[in-house]
Amino acid sequence: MTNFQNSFASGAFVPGFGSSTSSVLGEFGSSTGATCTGFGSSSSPFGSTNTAFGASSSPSSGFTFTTAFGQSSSPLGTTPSHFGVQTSLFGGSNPAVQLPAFSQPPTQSTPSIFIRHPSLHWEEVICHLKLFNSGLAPSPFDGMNSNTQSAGLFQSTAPSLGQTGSIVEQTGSTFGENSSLEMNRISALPMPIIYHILSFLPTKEVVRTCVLSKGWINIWSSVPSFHFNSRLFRYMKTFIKFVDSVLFLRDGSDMQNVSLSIVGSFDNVDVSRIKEWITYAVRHNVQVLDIENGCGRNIQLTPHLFTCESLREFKLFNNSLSLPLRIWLPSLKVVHLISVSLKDGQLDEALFSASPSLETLVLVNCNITSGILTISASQLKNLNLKGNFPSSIVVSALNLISLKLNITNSVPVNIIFNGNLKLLSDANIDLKVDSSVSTTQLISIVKNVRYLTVSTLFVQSIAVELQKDLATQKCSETPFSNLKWLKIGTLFSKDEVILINHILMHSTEIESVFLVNDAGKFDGLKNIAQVEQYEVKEGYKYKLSHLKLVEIEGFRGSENEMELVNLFLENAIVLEKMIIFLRNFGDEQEMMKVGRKLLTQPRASLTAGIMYWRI
Amino acid sequence: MKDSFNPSIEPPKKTVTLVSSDGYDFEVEEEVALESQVIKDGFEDKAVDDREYLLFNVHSDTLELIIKYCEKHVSSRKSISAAAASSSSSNGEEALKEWDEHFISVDTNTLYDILMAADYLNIKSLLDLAIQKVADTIHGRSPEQIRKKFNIENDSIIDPWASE
Repeated sequence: MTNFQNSFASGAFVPGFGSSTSSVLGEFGSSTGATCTGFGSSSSPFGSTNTAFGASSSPSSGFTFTTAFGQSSSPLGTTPSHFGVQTSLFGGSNPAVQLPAFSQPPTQSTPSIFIRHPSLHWEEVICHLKLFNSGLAPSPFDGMNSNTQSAGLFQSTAPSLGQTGSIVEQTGSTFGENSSLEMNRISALPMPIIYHILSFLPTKEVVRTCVLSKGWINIWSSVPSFHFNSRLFRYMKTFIKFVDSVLFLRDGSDMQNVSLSIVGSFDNVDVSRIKEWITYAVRHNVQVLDIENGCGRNIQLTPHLFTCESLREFKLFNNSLSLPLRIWLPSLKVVHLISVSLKDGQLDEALFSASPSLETLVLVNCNITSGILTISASQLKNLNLKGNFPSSIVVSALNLISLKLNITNSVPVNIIFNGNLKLLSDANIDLKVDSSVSTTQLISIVKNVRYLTVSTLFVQSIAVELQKDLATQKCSETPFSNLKWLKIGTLFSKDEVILINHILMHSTEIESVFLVNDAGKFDGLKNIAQVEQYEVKEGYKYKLSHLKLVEIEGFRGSENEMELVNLFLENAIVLEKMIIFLRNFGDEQEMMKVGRKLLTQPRASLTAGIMYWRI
Repeated sequence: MKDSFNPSIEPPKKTVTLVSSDGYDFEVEEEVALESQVIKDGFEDKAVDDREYLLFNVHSDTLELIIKYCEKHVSSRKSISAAAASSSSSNGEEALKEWDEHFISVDTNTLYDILMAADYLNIKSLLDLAIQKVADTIHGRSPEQIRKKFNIENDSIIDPWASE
């Protein structure tokens, strides 16, 4: 690919041959020299190509095939001598390579000359010839259907197959009458793409591809991604045997992704096998390890795992985690711990100091029993905490970009962020119980975000805090001045409307507002956070000069809701869309009345459209 | 991400020309062409008046689709930039996903053409989309069905019943 890119960049399609390729070409046109121009004008076996060159209209088409050659990461160098020899054979006897023959789509495939030389990848030769044809002389193909044409094109990348042995067994005609539709195109894909495709499949299915055809026998063994899922097996013993065999029979190259889904009934012996698989993965420099434990027994994680220098992502579900004394995970960027119980209930600070590249930390429903959770990671960009947590959380992560807090403790949790989170751009806050310390903290950190999502309860709890905060606000610093996108869960209570107004008033850049009426969700819990009614300043006057989209879910048509809707319509001068999803509250007529009322509201934006949906 | 609030003060759109393997010119906005990592990589080195790219491996039929894809992604990124960037559910993102799904629902040959072109032009999201689609067609099928689907000649020496 690099060759191709270079020539691409320079704009001049000077031969971008890899060294190995040029040696091949040297043999190709031995009488005229190996250079590109020599090739183009030569009277080598391909002498007749001259006409094709002349005929093509594309400005640099003379170099067409060189570029394409350069593009292919062809390992042709491995079989140069054969290549040269066989090519002349082609040139001599095969009408298919004489380009003028292509002025009519040839109907004949290239049959008799495909004598297999034991050490030659015929398909490479074919591919190059096809490439040559399609690349050099586009015009003769004009009359041909696109399928045939593209068939020629795809061939051009096929040479890279040679690297690991091509699996194109089918050397049949590209230009035959019905070939393009029936071609075995999947086998002709470059190896990395085939691996990529197979990496989306469970390993059971990957291994099964070995029965497809001869060419597929060994493909599975080099696929670097593994998804071992015991759910796909009826008997766990079969599953264990399967994984053992795969690991034993594979080609031993490095592993990229390994995911283990261990669900079912496993005995102790089985579980110890799993530990060995993890060791195997670690020894093969696994980069992404994902362990889902649904077998009811604890899978012991080998200590080697914690010194695995290649490990980039580690996901653990429903297992215990005990960190050994020695940890060194320099590549580790992503950690997901879901329903994990930590030994001694502590997420050791050792983990953070041993993984300096950590960028994403997700802790969901983990069992952390220590009194304080300290997260300190200088490179941390994404933090997602969900579930019950110790009563204090201390976060030192100055590079945080995205923060998601969904804390379900029924007692207040003190959340302390050290330092100023200047880069924080996306915050999603959902607290069940507020503590004024963390609320103040959180307000101060979300002030500069661009995308903000807050839940009903948090809205209620911050309403007052924010009110106080904004009242004492110095003019020097404008909160929410970066806010572009706001999603609020709300009951549309009076104080929430005030809060929303306050946020919007300061959000001069706001573009999208989403309001979700959670009234249904909290029907039983009305007035959960009853805050004192403070004075309502009449008539908010501010311009929403960037607001383009407003969406309200669960609209009930209450007075407070209408107030907000009117406010948007009157002040948003570039509003494009207002989408209102009605809450089905039964009274059809009432709904129509509200709808009509909405439509007659004065609008500041000439282009604003209102969509009124009933769900 | 550029802010594009007021389109009227933006400079006129710059365009580049993409030439398909069969010689058709496609004039596209710079932004759209830059969806391709390959074009992006060499972009700065190219003179402004020489922004023509000859895509020898991409047929005009495929190129048309690729451009359609890139245009859609560029425009939707602009309009719902915020929604897409946010972790919370957003209809913009879902709508784009739906569009992608519809876009990639093509016949096998076109799918391969898109896949190869996405690989050649290095458009990661499109490559992943196409590859996922191919993987989906393999997933859950018996070897015989896979052979039939992909026209793989059964010359296998392995007896499928011998394994397992």
